[in-house]
Amino acid sequence: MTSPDLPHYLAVAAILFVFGLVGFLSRRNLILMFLSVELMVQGVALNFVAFARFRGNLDGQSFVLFLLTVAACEAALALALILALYRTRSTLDVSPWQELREEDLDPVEDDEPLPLPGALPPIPTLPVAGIAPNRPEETNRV
Amino acid sequence: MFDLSAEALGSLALCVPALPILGAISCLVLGAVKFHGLAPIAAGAGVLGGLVASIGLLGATGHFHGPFPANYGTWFSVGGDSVQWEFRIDALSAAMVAMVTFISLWIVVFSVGYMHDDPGESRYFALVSLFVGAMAILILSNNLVLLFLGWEGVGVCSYLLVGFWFQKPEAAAAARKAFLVTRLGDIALLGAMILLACQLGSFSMSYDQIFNGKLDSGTVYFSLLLLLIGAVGKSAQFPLHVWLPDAMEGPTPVSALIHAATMVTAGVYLLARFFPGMTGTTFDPARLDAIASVQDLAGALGAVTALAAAIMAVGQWDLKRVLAYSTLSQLGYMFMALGVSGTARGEHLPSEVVSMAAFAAIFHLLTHAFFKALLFLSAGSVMHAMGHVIDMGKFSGLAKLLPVTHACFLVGALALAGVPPLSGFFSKDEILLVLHEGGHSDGPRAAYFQILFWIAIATALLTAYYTFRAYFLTFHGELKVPHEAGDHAHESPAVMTVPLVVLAVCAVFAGLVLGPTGMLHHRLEGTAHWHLHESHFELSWPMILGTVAAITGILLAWALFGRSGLSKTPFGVIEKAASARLFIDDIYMVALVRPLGSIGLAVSWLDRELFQPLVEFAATLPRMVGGRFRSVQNGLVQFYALAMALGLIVILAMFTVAR
Amino acid sequence: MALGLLAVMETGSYPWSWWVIGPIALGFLGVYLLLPRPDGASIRLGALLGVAGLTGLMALVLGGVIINVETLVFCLFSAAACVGAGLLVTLENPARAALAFTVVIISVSGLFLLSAAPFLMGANIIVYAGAIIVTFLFVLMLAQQHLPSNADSRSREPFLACLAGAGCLVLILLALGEDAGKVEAYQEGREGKALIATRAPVIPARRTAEADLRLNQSGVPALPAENTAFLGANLYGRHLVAVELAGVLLVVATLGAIAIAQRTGAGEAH
Repeated sequence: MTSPDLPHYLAVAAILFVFGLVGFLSRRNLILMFLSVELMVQGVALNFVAFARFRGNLDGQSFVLFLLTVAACEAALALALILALYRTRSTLDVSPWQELREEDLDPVEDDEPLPLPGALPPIPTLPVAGIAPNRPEETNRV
Repeated sequence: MFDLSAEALGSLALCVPALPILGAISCLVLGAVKFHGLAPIAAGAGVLGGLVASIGLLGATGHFHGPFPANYGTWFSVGGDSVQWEFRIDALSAAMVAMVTFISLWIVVFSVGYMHDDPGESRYFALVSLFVGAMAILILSNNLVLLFLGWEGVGVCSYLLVGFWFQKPEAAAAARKAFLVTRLGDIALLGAMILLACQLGSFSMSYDQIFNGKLDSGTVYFSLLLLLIGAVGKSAQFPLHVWLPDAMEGPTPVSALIHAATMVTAGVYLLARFFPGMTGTTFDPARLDAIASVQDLAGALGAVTALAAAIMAVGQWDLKRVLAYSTLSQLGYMFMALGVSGTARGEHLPSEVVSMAAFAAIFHLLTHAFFKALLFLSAGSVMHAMGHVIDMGKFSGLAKLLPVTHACFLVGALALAGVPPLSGFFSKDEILLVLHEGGHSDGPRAAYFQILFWIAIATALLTAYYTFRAYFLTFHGELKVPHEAGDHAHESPAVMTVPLVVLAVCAVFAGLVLGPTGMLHHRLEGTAHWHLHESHFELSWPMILGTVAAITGILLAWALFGRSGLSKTPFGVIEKAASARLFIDDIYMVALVRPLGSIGLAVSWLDRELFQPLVEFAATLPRMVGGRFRSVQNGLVQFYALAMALGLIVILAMFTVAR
Repeated sequence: MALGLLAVMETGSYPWSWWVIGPIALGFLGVYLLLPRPDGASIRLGALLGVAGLTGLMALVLGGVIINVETLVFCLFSAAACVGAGLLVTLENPARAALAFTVVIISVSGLFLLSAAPFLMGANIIVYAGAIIVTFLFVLMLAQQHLPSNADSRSREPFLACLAGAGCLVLILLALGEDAGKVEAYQEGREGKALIATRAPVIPARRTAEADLRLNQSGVPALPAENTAFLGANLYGRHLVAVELAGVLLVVATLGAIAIAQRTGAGEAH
């Protein structure tokens, strides 16, 4: 074959999808989990567009439009929900939400302690601009 | 007497068990809807219907002699074989079923008064009706399987009725004992059925098939032996007699019905059909020998029972127990009669001898039913008046207090003792005659029959003695009423005395009507496989001997108890042994019951310690396994998603790699 | 399995059958090392491994492709998308991760453009990068966490997640490689049934009356300037009901978002 063909596009889409899967499974920040889902959606969209291009059919592209629509709705609702969850526990971590577990199991807790927050970098300040005039003091002459 | 078509006869025969069973169902329904008062009416109506039908049968079978088999269809069929619902309508079954329903009717009437305040009234009447139906099935059946149905039916009803007041531990134990001991006999009966089925090739086993079938003498011997054991169980002969005295724990009408007139006679009826049937018209010495061997055993058991029971009755203080032992003794008489076998070269044909013996047993069965039921009901009347106290030491001199009961009891006692011209005299005479003839024939067993004859005479003496001992202790002497009687100590109401009077009349006249006139003989002549030779009533040596024995016994009792009331008798040792039932029950307890109990304990220990934990382990195993897997459900969304992803990988692998 | 291997090796056109496991394993090992941990992720090693894996995979997948502008642009955009995705998944700071996502969006839009979908390229950028990511950043502002925090500095089951990802990717690429070979074999007259028919069927793709994509002389679809018009015709012609339903969905989502936001607002007011 000569130029990037359908399998190559599909491979790229697969990579994106799998990264999204890994991110969803491992990151604990609710926002990042949702971003991983959007990443998966991007992979799927690329899949559709690749098929549309190599089949000579615009149905794939139409579907990607719907996908975009659904993603937008999903983002709105998900973010509202995330905000609501945040307000209950004041953390974006997904781990405290364990109510679905078996009744007499202990909740899963983190073992290793977090490192103490390092010293914040100093707030950058601008150096004094320009050259100071060579005057000891400023006299007020009316 | 009158002509009936085949279908009418069949339907009439079906009514005899069906109406009492319907009555039983109605009693149960009435009991369930709490109309207890109507239950006796339903039961009585059922039994009365059965009585009317059996009188119809009785009339119809006077017209023809041979058996009339009535087939009502197939009960069940296995393989190519099937067992039919078939009834055998001949003079013997008609006579027996008429007796059963007649006595049952009067017992139902009596029970209305006796069981008046009992809370389980409807259950009682349902069981009594059911019993009558089952007994009718037993008598009327034409094949062994249907007979077994009736056999078990009466066994179950007996269990339920003896244990009627089951809250009383002695009653429950007595019911269990009755059922278990008769069970031993039932197993033998089942064994006989299986043996005959194997030899005949089919298990539909109607009587004609069995009697006419080709059986070798070994089969004949073993099957008759097993049938004998079954009859011994049901009719309470030695060694399976131990349940009958205990069964007196049930209500007195139950004792009258079951343990005097009907159930215990089932064994006698069975053998009365089979001994003549198996003998047939054969002269084959092997077969005759086989039958004779079994009959020897029957006669021996009967003799032992008759004598031992009479001795045991001498020492009893419980009025009902005296009557129970008296029943055992009279059943022993019937078995002794059945023990007379015919030889190939005797004065009469072997079939004739055996048939005469069977006829004597049946005659005694019929008359015994009347006077024994009468005696039991009188005892019941006494108990009713004395507030359910039956110990003869606690009351006496009731003659003036309970006049009707006294008169009826006296009639029954005279009939039992065999004083002419009451019914017991004629039937006992027949038996003595048969035994005497056997003893004077020139067969190999003549000496044996002589022994039986003298045992019968001795038993007659003892019978008269203990019966009149009971009579004098109860009704003569000073008036003494136990305090449990309260204000009951008066004559029973009419509903209870009318049956007594009716049965007394029967006890007086039944013998006269049936025996010397030859009516019963004439009627039963035509029973299939019975070949009765001509007989006529004549004064004979056994008759005189028997009467003398009876009068002697009565005089002895009067001398000891009649004149001076309670007194020390010179038979102290015998009485002590007698009241301990000759220690037979204790032997059974030590030899059989305790070892079995220990085995039961051992097995139950094994079950508790070994098998229970095993089963419980099998039950907890899923929980243990599940518990391991429960920790997967930890409530973390990402964990669940991870599990889904891993599953997805497995499926993908299945589709790509593993294809 | 052996049969599949043999079949693929016979075709020879898609030589990446089982070799993909190597680079993929490398890459995901790198990702594993990069995932945030309380005691700090090994950034350098992880980055090295990740880049090595990506390069190897690209070399393997794109082996045999002619080098021209289209291929170069394709490689550029794909690499950017993959790197951006990797950054999104492994960066600790969620704001930076959102920016990495922007890079992904732009790269994917570029790939859309390469695939003759200019309208979608624009729509993607506007909707995703313009609307969704901005909303994310707003929410991040409202729900700020101070690093290091439970949410950002820890990962849930990193090893198993990377294993799952690697397994998925290996299997998908295997399916692609194997079946592409089988389709070729089928088209050349030999046996084979494809799971994913990666080749267009021999029947020309023109099923509809309108010329969706203009074909140039040699029959290869060219980049049409009227893609938007044709897309619109397709959308409102063949998928009208879906469009209406999508509109309904948007309205419902809006109402839902307002309702949820209202409730939390009302709940919070003391």
